[in-house]
Amino acid sequence: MSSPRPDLPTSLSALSALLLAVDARGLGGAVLDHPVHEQARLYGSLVRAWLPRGAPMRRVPSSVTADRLYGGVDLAATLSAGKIVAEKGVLAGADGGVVVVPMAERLNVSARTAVCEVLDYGEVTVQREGIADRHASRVCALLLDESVDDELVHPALKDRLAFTVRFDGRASEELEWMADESEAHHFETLVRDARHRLSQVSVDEQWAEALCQTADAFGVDSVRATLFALRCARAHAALEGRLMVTEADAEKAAALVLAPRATRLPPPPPPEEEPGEEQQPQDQADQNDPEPPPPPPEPPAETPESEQTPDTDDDGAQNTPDSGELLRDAVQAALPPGLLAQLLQHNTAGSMQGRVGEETPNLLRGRPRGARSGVPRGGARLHLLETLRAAAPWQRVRNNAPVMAPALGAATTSARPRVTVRREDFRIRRFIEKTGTTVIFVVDASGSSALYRLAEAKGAVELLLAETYARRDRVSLIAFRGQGTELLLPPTRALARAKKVLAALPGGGGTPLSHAIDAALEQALGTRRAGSAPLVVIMTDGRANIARDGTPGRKQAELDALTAGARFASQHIPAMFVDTSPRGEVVARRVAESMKARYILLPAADAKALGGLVKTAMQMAEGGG
Amino acid sequence: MRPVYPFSAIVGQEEMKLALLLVAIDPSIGGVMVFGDRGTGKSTAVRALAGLLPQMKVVQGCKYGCDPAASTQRCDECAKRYADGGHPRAVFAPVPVVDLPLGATEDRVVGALDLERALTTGEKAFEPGLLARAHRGFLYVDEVNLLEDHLVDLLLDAAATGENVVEREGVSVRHPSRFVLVGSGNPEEGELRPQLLDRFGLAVDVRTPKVIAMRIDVIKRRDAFDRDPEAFLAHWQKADNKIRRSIEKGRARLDELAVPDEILERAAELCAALGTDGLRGELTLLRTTRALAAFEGADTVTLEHLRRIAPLALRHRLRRNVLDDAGSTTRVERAVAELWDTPSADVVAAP
Repeated sequence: MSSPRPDLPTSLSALSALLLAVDARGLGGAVLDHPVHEQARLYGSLVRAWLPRGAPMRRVPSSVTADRLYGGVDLAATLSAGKIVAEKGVLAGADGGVVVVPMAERLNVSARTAVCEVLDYGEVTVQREGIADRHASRVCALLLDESVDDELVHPALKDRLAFTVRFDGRASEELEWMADESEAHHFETLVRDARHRLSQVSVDEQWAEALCQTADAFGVDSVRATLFALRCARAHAALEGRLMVTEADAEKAAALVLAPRATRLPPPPPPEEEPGEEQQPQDQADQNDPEPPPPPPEPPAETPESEQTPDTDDDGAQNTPDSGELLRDAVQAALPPGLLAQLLQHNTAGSMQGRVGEETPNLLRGRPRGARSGVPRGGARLHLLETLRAAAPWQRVRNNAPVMAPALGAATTSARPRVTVRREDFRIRRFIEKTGTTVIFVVDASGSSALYRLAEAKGAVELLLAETYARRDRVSLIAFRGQGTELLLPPTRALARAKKVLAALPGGGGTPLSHAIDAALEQALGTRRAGSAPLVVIMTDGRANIARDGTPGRKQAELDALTAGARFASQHIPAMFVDTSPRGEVVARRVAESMKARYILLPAADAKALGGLVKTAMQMAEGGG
Repeated sequence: MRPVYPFSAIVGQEEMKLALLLVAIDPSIGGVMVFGDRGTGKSTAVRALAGLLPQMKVVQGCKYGCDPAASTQRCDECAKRYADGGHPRAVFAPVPVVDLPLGATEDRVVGALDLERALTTGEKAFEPGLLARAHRGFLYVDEVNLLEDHLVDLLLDAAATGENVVEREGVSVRHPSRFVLVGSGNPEEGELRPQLLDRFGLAVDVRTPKVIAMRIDVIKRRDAFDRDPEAFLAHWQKADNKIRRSIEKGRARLDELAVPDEILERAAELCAALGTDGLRGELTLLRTTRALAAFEGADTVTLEHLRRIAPLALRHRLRRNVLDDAGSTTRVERAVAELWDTPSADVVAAP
């Protein structure tokens, strides 16, 4: 292994800043994982300082309005010129520089897709408010991931950025060191030289192949990731002053790009290893590394389907038979400690992908939907463009003089065309307050319920889901069994996910009905606060047998359920109580009454009867919405 | 102009490529909905298609790109010109492939009063929007499942009627707007409205290639393209030209290809077995089958063509079946197998 240049940082995070500056376009940028404010600022300012001189840096707040993001009408210029003057948005303004997105997990849909477009094509397309344009926007994006719980930076964004940067002690130290004034010149030169060298750096095919294999071994599916790894290797070689990618470059690339994306560990190797050269001091201090001394594992059964020719004995790099194997250690060493433990536990992909943040309203409140005439006051906002449009056809009449030949205009002092806008031209922005309905399904997964037709209840929920999504409602899913409830799915519009979660729901355990009602109430109130109308659908056989304090016992459990029901009723939330027991339970009916919920006996699973159920629910949703 | 990755250099994704080529041969098939994973080259394929399509004839000076040959689908101006006995020149123009970004506003989609002209000359002129630009070409919406509902409504309206009717701020305009809608999206991030899904003639799934050799190819080619786009394009030009010629030939052959009654029956049979609603499924199935036969230069449309096309044309039209958890592709394939795979078994089973 060639030893790295002594003047380069040793931590991957600090190194990534240099690499971004070398190939900003190719690498896209980085997700900064829960940075402290100063760390993020430092990282961003370093990247910017190393980019070609004069590189801009722009912040995109998660509340960014579409016209500022894409660009829109320059109000003052438009009025004075009497014609539309476009103004560049943030993304176009950051061309050649850095875009910083704080709270990236909160970014709204249209902002997100705009950033994705910019990362893919280096351009932003404007099709808004009378402006059709396209601006160059070759940026390095730094997304600050400040998520808590299940709100995550959208996978589509993460996929388009090469790095995930974590700030441990060493990274911070090294970033500080690189930011020191005395080093400024050194790094600037280093990066500039590397940038010039970049296009000449060649990559032997074996490293492209090795990176692909490593990506596969660690369950990194996205082709983009592998491409990033390749570019990263190239940028690293350039930084080290090489014109050819070597093992060291590929290793760094695998550690930087592939490790944070790992979703599984490679299959364990056949036991045939000598404890050879031990691993180097690791990058991360994995205090709880449950991993045995890393044996260089075998590649996953390479099928001989391709006649790739990696064996063209190169003279330059030391050619080991399997380069993928070497990279694997690099990845393993760079896995963040928590992730490793998680992977060992699951050792499967799948549950890795978290939930994505809900969409936040785009502009002020609700979705903008054109304009209507009216006076901008009392919070109503003027829609400038529509106002001008309304005024435009009248200009000639109003000005009482044709705006004409420049020869005439040149003679007068007020050559400036003016627009006469009258009160009746005023247009104000209209927003659609997207209230909509959120249907909260509360599904009994207890043992007794499983006995009676949990499968059918699931089927009914699916039918309801199909209906709700046709209506563009949101759904939320709560399951209860054993000692408590579980929010399986926060309000979402993604039916596919709801279906998946539902299908995986196991049955068994007691029936904590009072907990379920409490959870439904809480969720419903939250929904209401968020501006959406809740509809609760409880599906249970009503056989409450776990009391509020968690003790088993039918009597207390039923009493608690009735109390919870009364509390629920006090909030006037429309609800439907679907009794899944075979012939209907008296208790179920009483609990339903206490909730002031509509009581329905789950019909035998024929489609028609279920259809009736669905219809009732939807009528209730209409009424409640 | 940024260089566009060549169509022929896309590794794998055969189903998506085929679907796009078939709608290029016969736009009346309807649009293509591409479901799939991230980073699988959905957008790349659509943009590459733009570079591939043979040019089309348009009425010179027409801002809607009217077809000189289509007498029934003209904009008001062209209709008038022809009615007055004029013979406008026809010129060649590239087939438009228009992006509809999610952040687009309504006025840019349908068109609006041309403000600048209104203000400077007092003239009420119409500034065409994306629906006008996409006429006779492709309208591409990435992440179409996230498109605002009111924009979806506009698309549905235009797609249903083949024209765009604008009544706003004193302009009253009607112009033809026939386009092939291509959408892409990941259903995990929000479902598509059923009305919109139904508009798509074909639906394809794209997946990340699982075979490592293919993935190696993908990144090698992409890398080569990024490093030297011109050389890369030159290298693939021949292959692209070949595809372009087969589109042209396919179009020419389309009219001559009759679909045998037997195939019609089989298509109806399949739709019935799958319980797809309405005629749209059947019609799409037939058109697509014929387009495939034309594309491949076959003399006649065969059952084999139908078989291959069935999942593309039908998988998004199945009713959700609560009791059947199989994916829709599997369901189509199963129905196909049940219907047509046992001709010999019938004979054997008969005593």
